[in-house]
Amino acid sequence: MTRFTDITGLAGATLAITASLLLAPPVRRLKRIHIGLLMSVIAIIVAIPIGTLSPAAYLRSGFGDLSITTHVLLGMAIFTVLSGRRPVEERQKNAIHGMIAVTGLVFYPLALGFGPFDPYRLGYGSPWFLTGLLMLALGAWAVRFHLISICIALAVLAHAMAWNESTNLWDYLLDPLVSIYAVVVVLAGMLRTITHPGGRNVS
Amino acid sequence: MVVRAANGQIRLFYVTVSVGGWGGSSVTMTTSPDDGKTWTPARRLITTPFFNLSTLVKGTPFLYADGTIGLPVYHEFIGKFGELLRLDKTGAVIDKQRLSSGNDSLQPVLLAQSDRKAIALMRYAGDQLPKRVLRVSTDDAGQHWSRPEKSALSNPNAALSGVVLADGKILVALNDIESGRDQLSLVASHDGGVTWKTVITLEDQTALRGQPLDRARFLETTGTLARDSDATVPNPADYSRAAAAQMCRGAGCGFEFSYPYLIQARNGDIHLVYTWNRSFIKHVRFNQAWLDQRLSEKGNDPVH
Repeated sequence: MTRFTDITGLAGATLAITASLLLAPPVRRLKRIHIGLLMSVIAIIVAIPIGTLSPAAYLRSGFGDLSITTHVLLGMAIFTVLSGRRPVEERQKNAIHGMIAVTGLVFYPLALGFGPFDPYRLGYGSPWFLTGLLMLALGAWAVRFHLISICIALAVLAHAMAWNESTNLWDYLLDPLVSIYAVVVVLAGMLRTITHPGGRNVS
Repeated sequence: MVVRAANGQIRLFYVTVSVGGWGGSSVTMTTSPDDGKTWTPARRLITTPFFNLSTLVKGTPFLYADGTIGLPVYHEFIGKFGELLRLDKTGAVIDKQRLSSGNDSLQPVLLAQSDRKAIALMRYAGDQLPKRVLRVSTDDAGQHWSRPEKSALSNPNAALSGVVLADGKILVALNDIESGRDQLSLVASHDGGVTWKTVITLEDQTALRGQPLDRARFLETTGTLARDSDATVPNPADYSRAAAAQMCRGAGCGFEFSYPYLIQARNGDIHLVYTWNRSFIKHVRFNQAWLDQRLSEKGNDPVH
């Protein structure tokens, strides 16, 4: 029997593959209507089983469900390709990339056993963790980093709906793929700042 | 690992390996509503944030007073350490707790002595001498656990198994030696795992250590062991040859009695199974009366 989390998980994997292919430079040179058609075709192809599993299912079996933060960033990337407009200003993207990178660099070593403290446990309903997230979301909203607040709010909502296979809130906020991506983007931005001190730091 | 849930269903937890050996493993659960005749589709438990890698199960699950399930697990990816998962009645993970950290503890076995008191014994995977079973304890129903400390039981980086009997005694099967797996013992504790007394040494080939053990002598010895285990064995040579295929490499052969698993059945009988020379699973059954008699005979033996 197909479970709800199988549908949402496969939809997330389809979104990831589709967005990755649409971001290829040759695709971005196409007209928007053609990009839209191509996106539909890719989404259908990656959802069709090849052998026993679809490409989306292979991705999901290897990497698990994607976090809501990843969904939001992928959705924004597709929006940009299709519309030619950026949904948020660069400072907001820089802020969320920085926050994901720092959180990932601290969180994953601790969660994998580097030391006695396990931050992953907080994701099983710790009131302190939820309070901290609320404060962070409100603080980010106050300084106009709306993207951070939206990602946190959507992640908590999705967790309440049991959107993913995991029951841990951390898995809705963060995943290894988006953490690695954020670290690379932040490092690349820092490198650009060092090599081109006068240029814009855009990630 | 199997547990009967509060609603009578059997839940089976097992390790699924995807990529990279044990480091790339996860725990899968399936449920039987009819005592093992049929099973539900397998369901992966999400227990770590990093691609769900590296959670393994070896210790027996148990039930909390509220019907939730405690599942001792461990990690073998970047670190080697034990954890305790808590699953709700549907099998969803609702909490996890670290029993140790670092890189030297594996395969926790949880032994609950009362509603509030329990110990967990762990295989020691470190290099620091003496090599001993690691022990942690709780006095508040698992809210807090003590830091791991070395127990009085030796451990050659090998799995162990245990059970708490109705009278509060803890019974453990293990390789109670610091190297090799050529001896397997049954030990008991009356004081919550602080001191231990050997009930019986089930297998012991330590006397042959250091001696050249060629294939012919190995076949002879294992044939004798097989016959001693069960006099009705029709052809002990078959057992010997199977064992030799696993245990003889190059110039010599060795013995291994490992991966014990101990349970107490509803009728009070105690069942022990273990790997016999990597070729067979040996089953030993005894009852409480035999155990009590052994312990009374050993009354004056030194504890360790």
